[in-house]
Amino acid sequence: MAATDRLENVNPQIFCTATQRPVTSSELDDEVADPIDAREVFDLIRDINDPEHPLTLEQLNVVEERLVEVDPEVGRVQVYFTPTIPHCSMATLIGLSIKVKLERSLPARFKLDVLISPGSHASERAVNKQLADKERVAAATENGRLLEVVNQCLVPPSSAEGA
Amino acid sequence: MSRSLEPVATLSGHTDRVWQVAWDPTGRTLASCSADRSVRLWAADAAGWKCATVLTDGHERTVRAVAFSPSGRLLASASFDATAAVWDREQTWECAATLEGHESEVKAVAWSRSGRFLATCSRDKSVWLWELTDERELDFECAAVLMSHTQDVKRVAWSPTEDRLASCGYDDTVRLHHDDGDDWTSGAVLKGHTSTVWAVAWDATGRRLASCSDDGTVRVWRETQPPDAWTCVCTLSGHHPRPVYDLAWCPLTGLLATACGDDGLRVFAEEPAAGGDGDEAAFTLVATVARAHEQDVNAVSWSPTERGLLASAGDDGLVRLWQVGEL
Repeated sequence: MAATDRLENVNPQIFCTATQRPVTSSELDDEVADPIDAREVFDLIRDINDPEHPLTLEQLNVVEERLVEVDPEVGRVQVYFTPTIPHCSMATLIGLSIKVKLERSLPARFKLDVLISPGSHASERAVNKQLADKERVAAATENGRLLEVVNQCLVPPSSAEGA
Repeated sequence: MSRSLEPVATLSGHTDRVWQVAWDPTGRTLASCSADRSVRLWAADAAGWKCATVLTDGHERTVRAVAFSPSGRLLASASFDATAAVWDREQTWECAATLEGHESEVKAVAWSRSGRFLATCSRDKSVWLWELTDERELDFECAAVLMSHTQDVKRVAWSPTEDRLASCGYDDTVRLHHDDGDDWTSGAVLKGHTSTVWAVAWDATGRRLASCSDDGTVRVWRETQPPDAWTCVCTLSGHHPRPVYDLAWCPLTGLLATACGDDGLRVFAEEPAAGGDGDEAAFTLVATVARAHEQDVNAVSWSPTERGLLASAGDDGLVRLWQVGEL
């Protein structure tokens, strides 16, 4: 799936990446309650690799901090992502990678909604429905081949370069 | 009138999300199935509910659904490994048959009221009917393959009064199927939900159906012009902020329970005035447990023998038992 003969988006636009977030003293203090915020969720997904380019989702502007919403009270995380082109066939795979990464990283009590930015994809409704169906997501992540492709997207950039 | 819903027991043992729970006809055994690939059978003794048996070697992937035959002798399980298995209690729960044919994940299983037919449905968009042709040898033959759904079929449920099957799924519809004397045919298509229909449940009369959906609503349908003309007589909206993954309609009390992706359990009672035979029905929310499980609630099932005893299962790996008060 990742290695297609022809690139769909031959010349993607590359965006600046956010700087490292400074660690504050209160964050290091175990006494201070430190709820999960949008920046923290963004940091978890910004370095996910694009399935076809050696670039991160952040570099391709597929994920943005402003499109991450966190409600720590209710325990809800909502992420909108923007495929680079409206007919991107990788949209479901990208969404699945974001979902798997967050499922692995966040406490299980969080409700995760991963959605396509409104108006950015031709099959927005179908992709959103598939990503929202936890039964199909569970079946997909039990599928060894698909899981391998997802895991490739989740390899941290430094070790990806080494590979 | 609001009622209490008190916790009775918490059954832990599964090591991954629990997808479904099913009672045997005596109400003395409860089966649960899980992404940990096992089925657990729970029974109560003087000290409380315990795991009596673990069935582990029937499936290679998630066990999505379980159902007891009406006699209580057989247990069917459906798995993402594209098979359904039939377990025989008389052989101390040996796997007695494996039903193969679906092209991808099997999502649900259900026995007809006589135990003659077993229905399975799958991600491959089909519903299969298996006929138990030899009860001693446990031989099954495929009696029909119903292809009316256009997407992933999530659930099948047999009428309690006749050989009639309801199915529902990712194409947002509920569909009915019956034997027209010659062959199995698909009839009514119940449209109204705006997203995946996760489950469907019959009432005790077999003339009404309830369905629940990813759209957060529960709909009640009635057969207005038998045979096979159905109308939505009630929509319960505004109660569920997340998908409703399961519902159960109690044949003993008429109460309707729902399992929701917001971790909550809800119980609805029908307004007596509506009577159930008019063109409209009204249901009132009578009990809510907001944090019934620590994660999504996937399943609810009423005991067939104990009034108001409810089992639930969740993504937190737990099975819980609840009792409705003041019945």
